[in-house]
Amino acid sequence: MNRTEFLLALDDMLELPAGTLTGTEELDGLEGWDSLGVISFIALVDERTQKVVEAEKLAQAKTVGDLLALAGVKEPA
Amino acid sequence: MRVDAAPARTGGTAGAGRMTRRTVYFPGGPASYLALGREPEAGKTAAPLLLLHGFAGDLLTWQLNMPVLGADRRVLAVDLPGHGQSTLDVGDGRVAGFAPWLLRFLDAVGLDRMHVAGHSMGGYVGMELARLAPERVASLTLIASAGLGPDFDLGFLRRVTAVSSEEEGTDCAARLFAGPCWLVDRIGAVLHAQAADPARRAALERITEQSFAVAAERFPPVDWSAFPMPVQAVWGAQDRIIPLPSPHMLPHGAPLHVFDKAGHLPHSEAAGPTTTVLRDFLNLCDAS
Repeated sequence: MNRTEFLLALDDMLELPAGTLTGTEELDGLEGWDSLGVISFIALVDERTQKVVEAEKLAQAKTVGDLLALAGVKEPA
Repeated sequence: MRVDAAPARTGGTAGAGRMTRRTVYFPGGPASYLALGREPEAGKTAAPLLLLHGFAGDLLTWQLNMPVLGADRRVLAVDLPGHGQSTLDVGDGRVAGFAPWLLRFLDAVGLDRMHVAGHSMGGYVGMELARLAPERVASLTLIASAGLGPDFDLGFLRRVTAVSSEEEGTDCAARLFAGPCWLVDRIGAVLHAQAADPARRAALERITEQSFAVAAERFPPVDWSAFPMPVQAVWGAQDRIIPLPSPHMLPHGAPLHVFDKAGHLPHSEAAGPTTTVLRDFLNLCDAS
């Protein structure tokens, strides 16, 4: 799953119009980033990348870019 | 019986999109719950898992554990009466009364036999469920569980039901953890909001006085012969609400996993290790 696809999946998960997220957004400013958002994110990463997000690292995430890094999504070259 | 809200996702732990609560209606309901997870692979047995939250909490307490547990099996987390988005009718307020309510919920969602994991009051409810219908409980995991004895902080429960400001809510929430935690502010706000809601506050007060105040006065030892299923316990070493149980309070030979840097919410504060312990136990029980 590439960065664009993952951002679109996050848009969908956070109930935002497709193409909204760019990676720089602060999580605290996203209305949908709540407990259900956390569950949805961990489940999304597991399903799309077969990786288990470590809760302790998720707690440190501040931006959408941090979520991408946790999911192991590579930055564009 | 009627079920509202988004269809449960199948095939993976979540699929794309946002997870949503569902509501099921039955006599004594409604019950709000969250369901996710995979059906077991062909040839494998993996009983579903029912997760029960603690006093003044809700199903979202499992936010860090559910998706990972759902990699192996179906997982359901339910809001208990008086909590979250389920009915606020707590009957006479006795925790034992939540067990028949849960059986009606399980019948309504079509869960016949499952593993049960409960946190704090949810562990107490899980024990009552296992006592009432042992044939339906494949295993029991007690996380910082109530229901084992009279030694717990009753004053804290009374304070939680009467939180008068967000600051006090945050103060109460901080007591749940061994150290600083990103969840404290969020939990503090929830505690304040529910104490400010008269119906919700009355429900919590009734549970406190009819179950926990009584238990603090007199609590006979648990007769574990009524529990034929495997049992394990998980605790935070720095739990300030329900202290670590003595070995004689648990079934003979039951594993007790203790996490040093965790308080009353080991499934949040030591989410990874707690989830691993739970997952391994369930897989072992399924295989035996």
